[in-house]
Amino acid sequence: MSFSDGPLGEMGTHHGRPDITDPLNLDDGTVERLLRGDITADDAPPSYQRVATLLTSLTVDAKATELSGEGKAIDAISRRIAAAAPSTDAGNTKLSMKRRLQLVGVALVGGATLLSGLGVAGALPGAAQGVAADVLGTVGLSVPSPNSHSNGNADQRGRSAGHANTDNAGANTGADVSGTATDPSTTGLDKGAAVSSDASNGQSRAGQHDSVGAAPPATSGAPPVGTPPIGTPPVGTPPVTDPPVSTSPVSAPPVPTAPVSTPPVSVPSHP
Amino acid sequence: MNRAPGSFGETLAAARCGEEWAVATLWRDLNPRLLRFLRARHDHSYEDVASETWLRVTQGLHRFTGSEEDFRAWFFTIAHGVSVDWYRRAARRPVTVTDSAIPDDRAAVDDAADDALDAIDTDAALALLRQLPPVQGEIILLRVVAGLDAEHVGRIVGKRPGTVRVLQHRGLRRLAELLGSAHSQGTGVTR
Repeated sequence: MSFSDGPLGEMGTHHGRPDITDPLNLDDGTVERLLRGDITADDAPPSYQRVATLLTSLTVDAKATELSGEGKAIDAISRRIAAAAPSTDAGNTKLSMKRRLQLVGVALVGGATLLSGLGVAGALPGAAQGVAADVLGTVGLSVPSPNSHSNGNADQRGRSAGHANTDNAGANTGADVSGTATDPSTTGLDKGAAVSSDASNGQSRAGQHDSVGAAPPATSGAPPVGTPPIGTPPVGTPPVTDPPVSTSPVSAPPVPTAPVSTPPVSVPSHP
Repeated sequence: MNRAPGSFGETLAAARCGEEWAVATLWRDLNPRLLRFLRARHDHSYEDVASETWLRVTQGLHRFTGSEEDFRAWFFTIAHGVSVDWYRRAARRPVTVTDSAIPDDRAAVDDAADDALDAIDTDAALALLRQLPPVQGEIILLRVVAGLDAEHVGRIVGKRPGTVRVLQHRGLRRLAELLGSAHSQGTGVTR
């Protein structure tokens, strides 16, 4: 036996070199036929005739002892199977599938109806409202567009972020304000007023207050060109109103002016 | 039991619904095989293991799909699992060993072989199979008693089909040695 035969003699059969001197040697086909009961004891190799008889004895018909208690066992198993089975048997499974399809159909119809209703009412978000108007318009339903209630003042509703706002041509843009802010011909208070005016479309009154006390004169220490003075709204952000920074009593902190907030401890009484 | 069983698919579908005739058909076919498989692995507890096997089969029967051989493989997979669980539980239980409880392996082998030689019946054959290494005996039982091929047996015992073929070969050879066939031929056993 060589190393390639493996540690056991029978391994030789798996290398295609059966050891013909070994009476217990079996080829794979004979092994399969023995295990399947296809070989009778008379036809089996001499060394395996009793093995064939033994294997046949394992497959003989059931003995009475192996079938004892059949009635009770079958009754118990049948009841357990019925108890363990899910509530849906074969018929109910079909019904369940049918009902499931019905539910899906109802859900789809309900969803479409809901979306259509919202579209007719104009209650969808802008982009969805536009799509709903287009789709339902093809079937003859009149649905308001996203901008139909804007009374000529349509905003960006229903538009993608990348689209230009051509409907709002009269309004100042960030570019206009930026141009004013970077204009070197004006500085200091005048620049702030000009920027604020551009940003608010002429509604700002910045720079019309007491200019002497509001800002220092433009000297060599003035802010660099292009930098708006303190109190100017951020460039490119059109303010709704011009907030009166540091002059409104409402926005001022209450501590220095409101006596109510002064703690009584700080006002000692002198005899 | 009032109807003649039809195809396996019809029988299985009826058994899933708890039809007694279908359950009887399956039980008559599988219970003798199950008992023979378990008797070669357990002493006196094989009936308990068989009952537990049927209990688990009833719990999972409605989920099974497949052919008749698949069903047999599924059935004996459950039986194998129950048997392994039983041994694990038994290993955790303390046992008292007495001198009389220690088997004389040599005598058992001789007795089983003699019985098998005299009149090979199922009991003697199962007793002889118990003398094999457990995995070899189990593989031969699953191949012969359960009627499964090497692929299905490999899935049950957790081995590749090629390994199953090697082990079944060794098991048959060991059986031949035990039965003294080689010795009776006058050539002797090679190892």
